[in-house]
Amino acid sequence: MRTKLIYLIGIVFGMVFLGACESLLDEVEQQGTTSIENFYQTDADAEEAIAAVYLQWRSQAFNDFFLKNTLSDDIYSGGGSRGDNSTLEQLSEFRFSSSNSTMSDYFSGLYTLIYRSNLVINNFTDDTEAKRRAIAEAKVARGWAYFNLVTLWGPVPFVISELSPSEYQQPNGNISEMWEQIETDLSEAAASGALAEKSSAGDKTTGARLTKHAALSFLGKAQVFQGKYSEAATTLKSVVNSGKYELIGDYENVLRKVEDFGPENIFEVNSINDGENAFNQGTTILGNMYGWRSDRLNLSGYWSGAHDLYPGGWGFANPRANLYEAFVEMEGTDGYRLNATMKTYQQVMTIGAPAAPVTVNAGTSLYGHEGYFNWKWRFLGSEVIANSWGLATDNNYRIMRYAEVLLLAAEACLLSGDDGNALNYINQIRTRAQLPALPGITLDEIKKEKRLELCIEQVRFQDLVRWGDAAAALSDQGQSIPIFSGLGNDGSNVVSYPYSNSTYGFKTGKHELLPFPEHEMNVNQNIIQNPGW
Amino acid sequence: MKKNQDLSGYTKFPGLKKLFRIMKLTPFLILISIISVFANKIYSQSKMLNLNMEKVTVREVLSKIENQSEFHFMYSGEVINVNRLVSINVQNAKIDEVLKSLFTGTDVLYTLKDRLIVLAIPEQTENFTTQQQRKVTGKVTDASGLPLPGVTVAVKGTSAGAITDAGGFYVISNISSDATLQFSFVGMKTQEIPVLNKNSIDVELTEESIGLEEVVAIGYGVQRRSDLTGAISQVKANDMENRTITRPEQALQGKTAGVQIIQTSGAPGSTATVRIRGYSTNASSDPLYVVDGLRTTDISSVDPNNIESMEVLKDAASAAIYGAQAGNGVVLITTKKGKKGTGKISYDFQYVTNQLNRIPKVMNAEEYINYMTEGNHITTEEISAVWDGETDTDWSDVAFENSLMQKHNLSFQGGNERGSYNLSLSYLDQNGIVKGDKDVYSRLTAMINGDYNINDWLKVGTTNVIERWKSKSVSENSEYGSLLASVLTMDPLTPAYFTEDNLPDYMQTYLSSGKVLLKDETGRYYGLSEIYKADQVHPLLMRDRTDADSQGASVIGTIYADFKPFKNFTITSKLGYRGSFNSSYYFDYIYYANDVAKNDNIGVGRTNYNSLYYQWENFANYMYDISDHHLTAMLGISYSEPYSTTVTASGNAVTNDDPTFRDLDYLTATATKSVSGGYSDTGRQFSYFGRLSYNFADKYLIQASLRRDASDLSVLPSENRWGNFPAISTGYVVSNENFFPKSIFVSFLKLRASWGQNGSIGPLSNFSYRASISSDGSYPYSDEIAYQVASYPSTLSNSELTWETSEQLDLGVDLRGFNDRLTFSFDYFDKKTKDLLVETTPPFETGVSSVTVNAGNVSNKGLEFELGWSERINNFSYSIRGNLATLKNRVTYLDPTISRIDGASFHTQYGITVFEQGFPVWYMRGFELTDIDDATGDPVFVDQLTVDTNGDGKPDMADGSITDDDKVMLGSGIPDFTYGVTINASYKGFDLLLFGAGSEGNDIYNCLTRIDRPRGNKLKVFYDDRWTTSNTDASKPRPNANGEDKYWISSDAVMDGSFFKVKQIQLGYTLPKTLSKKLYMSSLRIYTSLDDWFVFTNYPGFDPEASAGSTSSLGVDKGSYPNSKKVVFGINVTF
Repeated sequence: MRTKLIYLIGIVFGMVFLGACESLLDEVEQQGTTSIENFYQTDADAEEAIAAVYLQWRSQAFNDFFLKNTLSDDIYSGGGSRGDNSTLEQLSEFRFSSSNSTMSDYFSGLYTLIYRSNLVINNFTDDTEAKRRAIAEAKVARGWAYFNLVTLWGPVPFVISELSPSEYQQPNGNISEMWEQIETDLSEAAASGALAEKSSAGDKTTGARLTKHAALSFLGKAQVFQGKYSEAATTLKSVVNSGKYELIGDYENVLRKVEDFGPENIFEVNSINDGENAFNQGTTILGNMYGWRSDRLNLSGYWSGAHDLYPGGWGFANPRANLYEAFVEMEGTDGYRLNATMKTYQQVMTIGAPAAPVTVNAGTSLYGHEGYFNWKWRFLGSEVIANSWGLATDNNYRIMRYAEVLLLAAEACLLSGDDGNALNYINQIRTRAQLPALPGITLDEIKKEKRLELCIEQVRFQDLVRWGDAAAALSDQGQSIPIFSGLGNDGSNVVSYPYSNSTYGFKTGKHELLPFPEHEMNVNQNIIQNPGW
Repeated sequence: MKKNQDLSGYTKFPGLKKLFRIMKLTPFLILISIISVFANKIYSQSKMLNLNMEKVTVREVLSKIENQSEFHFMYSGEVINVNRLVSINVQNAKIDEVLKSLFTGTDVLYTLKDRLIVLAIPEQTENFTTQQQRKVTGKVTDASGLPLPGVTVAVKGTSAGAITDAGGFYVISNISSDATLQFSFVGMKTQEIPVLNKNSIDVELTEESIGLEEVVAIGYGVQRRSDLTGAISQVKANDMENRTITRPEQALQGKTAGVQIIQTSGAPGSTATVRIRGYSTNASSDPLYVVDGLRTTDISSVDPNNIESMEVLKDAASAAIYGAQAGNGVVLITTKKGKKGTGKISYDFQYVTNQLNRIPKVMNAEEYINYMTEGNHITTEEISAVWDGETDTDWSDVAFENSLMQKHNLSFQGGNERGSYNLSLSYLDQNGIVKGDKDVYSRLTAMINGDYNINDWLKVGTTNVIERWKSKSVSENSEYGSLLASVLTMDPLTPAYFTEDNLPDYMQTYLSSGKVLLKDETGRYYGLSEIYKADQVHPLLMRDRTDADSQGASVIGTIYADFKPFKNFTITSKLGYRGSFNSSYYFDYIYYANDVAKNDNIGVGRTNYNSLYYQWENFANYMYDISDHHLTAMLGISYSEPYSTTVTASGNAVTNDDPTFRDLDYLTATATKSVSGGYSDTGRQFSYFGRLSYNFADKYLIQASLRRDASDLSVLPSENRWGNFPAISTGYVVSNENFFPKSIFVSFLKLRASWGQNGSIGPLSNFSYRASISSDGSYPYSDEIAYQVASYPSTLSNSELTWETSEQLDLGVDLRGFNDRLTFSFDYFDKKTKDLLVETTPPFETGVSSVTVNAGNVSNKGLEFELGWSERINNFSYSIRGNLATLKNRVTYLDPTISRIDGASFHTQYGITVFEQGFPVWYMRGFELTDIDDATGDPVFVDQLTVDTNGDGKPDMADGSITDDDKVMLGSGIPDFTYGVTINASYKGFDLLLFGAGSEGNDIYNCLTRIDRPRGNKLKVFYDDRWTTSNTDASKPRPNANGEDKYWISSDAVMDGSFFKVKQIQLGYTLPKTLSKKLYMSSLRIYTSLDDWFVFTNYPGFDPEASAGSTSSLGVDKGSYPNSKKVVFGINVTF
């Protein structure tokens, strides 16, 4: 008996010892994934892969908004108090360095967009409609991403295929090569016939997908930025003449939910009112950020239905007085577009009145604020997604509006000698702004019109640099930072400038290009930093 | 039962002055001897006898005495003439007198040992020459030469034996010359001496020193402490019993050098973080726990009262037997097993009141108003609009109360030659110091341990801990809503409560606009601040806005069999299992406090988390002894498999407001529902391990071990799944050399050296080496709720990924002296961890934000000292033990592609702790404050040299502005040294215990003032010496100073977190046996204790000890739950 038992143990011991177990180690499989070798085959794969491109594009919205706008002369970064989001303050005051995370995140996000686009472009064969469409959409995405990299950073690494570990550290790219690629991508996509096309201005069926005319609009913009005005004029005219886009009547709502997929939107990233996925809409806290600072303002009228301004804002992105003054210069204080873009404190106090007027709480002040309240980007309760605790909104983020196409077309036409169309386009903008038509046109007028029409819409900084106007417009940025404390005893706005910097402002020869992010410089031995950084 | 033992059947012994007798029942004799020595004499002095007997035999008198009392007699009927007729008449006589009158005039001598009376006759003649058997006599003395009565002298392998008499003499006859005598006595080292041709054997017993002979668990085996070649610290049951600790980890604090316990929270039931010899990785550095052979990461179910001993395997060589999981050290836990002997029932009870220990000083109403108005944060008009001019709310009064904790432990244990059992039930009920019952923890634990020898070659056994727990908790340690932080940041101007009638206008307005304002249990409204509208609101409102309830059950245990197919060879097959089943529930109430702290919909949710684990280990131990050569070999294999699942569901509307409807079953049809489930894949690990120890003449010791571990595909690719973890250690017992001088100063001296490698898989899991397509997210193309799933490769492949390896050198000295009263240990260790697993971001153009690489090295070096002294002077005994460990921690290498890794953040200030080459792991980073500008009151920061003008790679110029680049190291949460002192003293029935532990040189990052919430109240240190126009030479800036955004993450926010805590002052009293016997108990001890009562620290926050997160937020205080101070009353009873 005893011998038997020992024998048995010996066998069991031996069995285990001989590695019966090791094969078990191979049986553990990764859940919820597909191997790369088995992907990039079917139409369904193409739909999944291109959705990842859209998803990444949308996730750029926050940094797209803040990087481009804080660098402009449209807004102060604002927030709760000095230091609240110092990364935004640094941008707004031109005190940022290569470690600025908003800048760095936008840079890396664009490359992620390029990476996902490259995967689609390089891995699918164009043997079906769905795959052709995905490839064309990916090319548009890649073109748009490189447009931003080249215009903001200049000679960035040029990557159009997936990198193997030995290729990780890419040198600076050649700018003209990249412009060429941008044009190739966008024009090939537009010409592919695979992209969606709207049937009319009122057609919303293309939804959030890229269209042929979006590709052409981006192409036209890229051509303008290269100074290829006549080519740009041709490209942009084809968008205008398609008749599939028009300016909406109600300027106040150009960025609002009610105009999602509207006739003026060339391309937008989508966010929907789905309470079960409130935080998967790509707009998490963007609304709160630009919403009016609710712990300093009495927004309680929202609760009684006196107005729809949601009391959960954090008070960033406040219009500068000089933007207001630019409006007044063109439109007067009662200008239609001015009033649809921003409000003075006197106007704000009429909101919710008489029951619950919006006022600055006694003894408090708004930081980074000169008494002008962003209205175009207002934070509406009706746009707050259910179940998001006020942290996500369902208005789509516009990547490009038709107004920009018209203004780019006007510039391209003017600079390629087609004054007639230039005037026509600019007057379309002015008509909608309820301004009298111009009799003649200069580049300066286009610039002024564009600043007002597209203020706080992420185009100003790149334009200023392109026009060579940045130093003039931005050299005082960050010299002093205001706080707004409501009305003084004499009934006028109380604005003071308690904060100041010793170094500030746009520096010619340096700030035309942003620095490559600190991380990129640390990990990439082959890249050369932009001048001045 | 007849109590007296007639030992007839033995011949009258010839012999020495006094004679005892032999008896058959050796075990009984041992027991009696124990009683006789340790019981006091009170009984014989106090017991009064009444006897009135005429012409009866001595036997009858003795019998009568036994009936009347607890005395019993031991004698040999052959020797003592008990049939002699006597008459006796005594009233209220002591036993002494009775015996005197009985035996006066005879040659009978009587010896009184408590209740045992031994009758004997002095030897007169020598007639053993006629005997065939050998007779051995001798005297047993202690080290100082004093005779030892009551020593058991047993003939090994037989039931024969004797007990030494009052003079320490013994006599044993009828034994053969090849027999061996065994001398044993409680508290003394047992000695074995072969009889051979000797007729007289005198023995000197030495006190069983604190553990040289005692065995220590070393993983898959045990070893004599004297044979240890590694650095293993042991904490035994008496360091865990009668403490107010609730978790086993806490018992390690201050008791052993080199083991740091970070109690990150003082909330009921909260866990403690254990760091053994430093911080060896950027990820969690938690040690591996092994409970009775079961590997686990969670030991919360084990009640400290049920632990026999905990061994901490500190050096790599000791830990290497656990290979890939041992990189951060190993803690072996051995639960209590039954002991051989009569069964024992014991009950321990502890009743504890908790109270807040230190109340941090924050600004009062007047100071608050001064500060806020000076800084223009608040205007005087605003204050007068809401403040009644009197209110000065002390929020710590509002939030805290004294609370109770009770612990019960009932255990049954026993055993015999064949088996033993230990059954134990423990109950813990702890209520935290936050008012009410929203911070509670209760745990019921059953322990079932048993083993049985089926025959002489097969033993089976089982160990099991079964647990059921419940807890409720409040929010802590967050800048977005810590109840504890609210106590320190709420403004003092807001009253704590309002009745319905005196609601201020603003609250009335909220009510009339339909908002829900919360009330306390008496119907008063919680005061809402109109001044400070932030995430942190009334602490009790924060308590009441959510019901959070977690509960669960777990089983951990083993079933094992030891086969002994032949001598010195044991094969153990052990199945270990662990199951834990956890369920958490929350209900968020609708409420409004301000626009930041509010909830418009109810929320209800549940999460179920279950994990199952089993391991099967087979190992063989072989011992080989020949003369001075002692060889031990162990070889084994292990297979383990964890598995876990999670399901989470929530919704935001229920059909009925009634409390019974607050669950997922009652969600409305239109409620927004969310379900998410996780499925953690089965993980598998397979290992071989072996160990060889060789001991030559107890002088030269050497031990080597090797473990080979393989993980499944989720951890590493099959090409490099195997890891080898070798170790070697040696010891040299100098004191056993002949040349070593025999002196009382040093009786034992051992030198040790060890080297080994351990692994850590830390962040390796879930296929991090492999890029594959995962569906992560989805995208809607229209306004409809319809999504397209999005798929992309989540990471880049890294087929070269491998284990983290730590390599450690340990040099040590163990010393004993002064008759083993002094013990001393010293260790130096140098631990290097390489191939640190870092999740890093490759160059951005790769398009991938993270890839796991082996990219860093960390070094931990330190010295450890343990010093002990114990002494017994008559009835007084005392011992002092102290330990101290230093630690020097550095990140020695980080791949150049990673400049630094950001750790904790404070609101929008990222990287307040970072991981960077050349610095301690997760050091605290921020701006260096030089001064407060006398003219402006603004803080002045150091503009660090960041610009390299001459191109030599070293920055030599400042850039003229204070930016993120000017942040430097401000401190570290890692202490320079930690220490502990334990003092025990006992005198007769009284015992006293003093225990303290401390930490020196660690910093705390005080994160209470969020830059965007300037109206929050502040610690008074920021008020007292602030800059004002009349105090321009200030040490703190003016309120609302320029640069305040940097100030709250500057050197002023990093504070000294050193502390020393008197963890325990306990006074106990054990009732005399006579008294406890009357209470039907075999022993009864009562005690009272002050725990965590005295704290010495400069830290102005709640509790320097509980102001620390673990890992990357080490030392970051965002409002942690402080440890309370406790008054304890307890009893220990055995039956």
